[in-house]
Amino acid sequence: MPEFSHNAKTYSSPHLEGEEDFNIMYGFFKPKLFVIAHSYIASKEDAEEIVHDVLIKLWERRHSINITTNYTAYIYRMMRNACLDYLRTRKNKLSKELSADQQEFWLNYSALADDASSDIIANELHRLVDRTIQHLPDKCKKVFMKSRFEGMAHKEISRELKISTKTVENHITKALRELKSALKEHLSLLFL
Amino acid sequence: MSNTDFRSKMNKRDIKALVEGKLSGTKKQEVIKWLLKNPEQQQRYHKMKADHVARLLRDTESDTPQKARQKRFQIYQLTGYAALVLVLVSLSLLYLKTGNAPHTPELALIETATAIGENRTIELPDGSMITLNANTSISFPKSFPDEVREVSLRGEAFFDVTHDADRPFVVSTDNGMKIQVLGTTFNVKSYPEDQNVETTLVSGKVRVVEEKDNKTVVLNPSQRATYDKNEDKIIIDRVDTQNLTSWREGKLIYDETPIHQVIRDLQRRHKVSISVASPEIMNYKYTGVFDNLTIEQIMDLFEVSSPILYKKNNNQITLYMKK
Repeated sequence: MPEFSHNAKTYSSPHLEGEEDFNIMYGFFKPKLFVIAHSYIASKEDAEEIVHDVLIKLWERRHSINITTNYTAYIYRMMRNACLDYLRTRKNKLSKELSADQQEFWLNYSALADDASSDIIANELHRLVDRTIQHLPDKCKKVFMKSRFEGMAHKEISRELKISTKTVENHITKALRELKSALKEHLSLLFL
Repeated sequence: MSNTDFRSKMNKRDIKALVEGKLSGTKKQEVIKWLLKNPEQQQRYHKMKADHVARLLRDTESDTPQKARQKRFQIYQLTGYAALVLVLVSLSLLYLKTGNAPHTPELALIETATAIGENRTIELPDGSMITLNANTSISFPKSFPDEVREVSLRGEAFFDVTHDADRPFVVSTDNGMKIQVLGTTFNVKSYPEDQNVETTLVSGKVRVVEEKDNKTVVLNPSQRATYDKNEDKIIIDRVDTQNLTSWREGKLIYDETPIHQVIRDLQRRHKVSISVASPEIMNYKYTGVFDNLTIEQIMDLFEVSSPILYKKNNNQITLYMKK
């Protein structure tokens, strides 16, 4: 796994920083989102594809989206919408008799579309993310949250917390390193 | 034992088994069908399912795969006992219930409602399927009498009515309109806060009756009857039914639609309140498509596709005209 044998210096190259960043976010969210998607979408392959597409889309849009609420909620919303789209097209196929599969699509669609129930899952996901970064040192956590979960630019963070952008970068590097080691057991997933 | 007795025997245990993916084949189909017919139970399923998914999520966290398997095994064992207890409890409840519960009258009404932003499809006792748009409620008898199938609607719904020549299907609204059909697909939009009641026919034939003077209009496919509550008149026009029924797929399509109508739709679909700062906005007619967009995306689209600008403060949106 050559990507993960690099030391922290790798981050100074912007291209690699992005790639590394993506791999970590991917490895972190993929198993969680998959559990959710697969709970409502019976086909393992389709559920996997949906999660993969969502994470890729998220990555491609990273510069154009301005996340106002928080990153986890945004990711969850994207994934939920993608699953609902999938279920919607299948449940709405016009046919006189509702087939058994179709009824299952109906049921899963309405279950996932139920806001109150969906919030239960969103909150759990949020809690898990919080817990993972909770053991980071305070300042480091704050910076990382602002950058990755609130979508703030390094410059904005440096202004708000009154620290240099260099320090912001260091904190983020550190947080990513921590996350990476927390993710060791999921490394194989990164190369799917 | 009659069919309903058999149905009522399904209970939380079945829902739980379905949630945990332990059912297959006909049993699974039966439970799914039962849930789709019982909105209350279905609601319960939604929540139990979500709780289960949250639990699975927690499991992904700390466990190595091996540990997880072990743990899951324990859970299965536990749920086995839990299921047994549940069976005993529910059996005794059933016994108590059948012992002294009064006989439910066949005409008992079932009422089901959707929240803001929620769509739901339900099946009626005759097999007709109804998709409810946001902020809509509908009520119908537990089983239809022999003469007529009558439902009351407040809000918007798409009907796919099972054909039954002997029992006409009637939709009553509390806005002075009734829609009578035999078997057909159509859309009724009748929100108390809207100025109009709209009935749009997709296929078949329907009769729209204005209750006060018994004015009757028969619609052909692709026709829409708009009843203006204030002016007490019915207008018939030809429409693209796709545009008016696409809300079922989360899509809102507007073609020269008065902006106040668009605003009302948005407020039913999103938890926001929208106010208008420049009065001339009310005369504006909007053309455009919102395909499953968030309220922020819709507002951004407004800004690029119309002379309307917006300000958003929490759940409060203010619209004003570009100067």
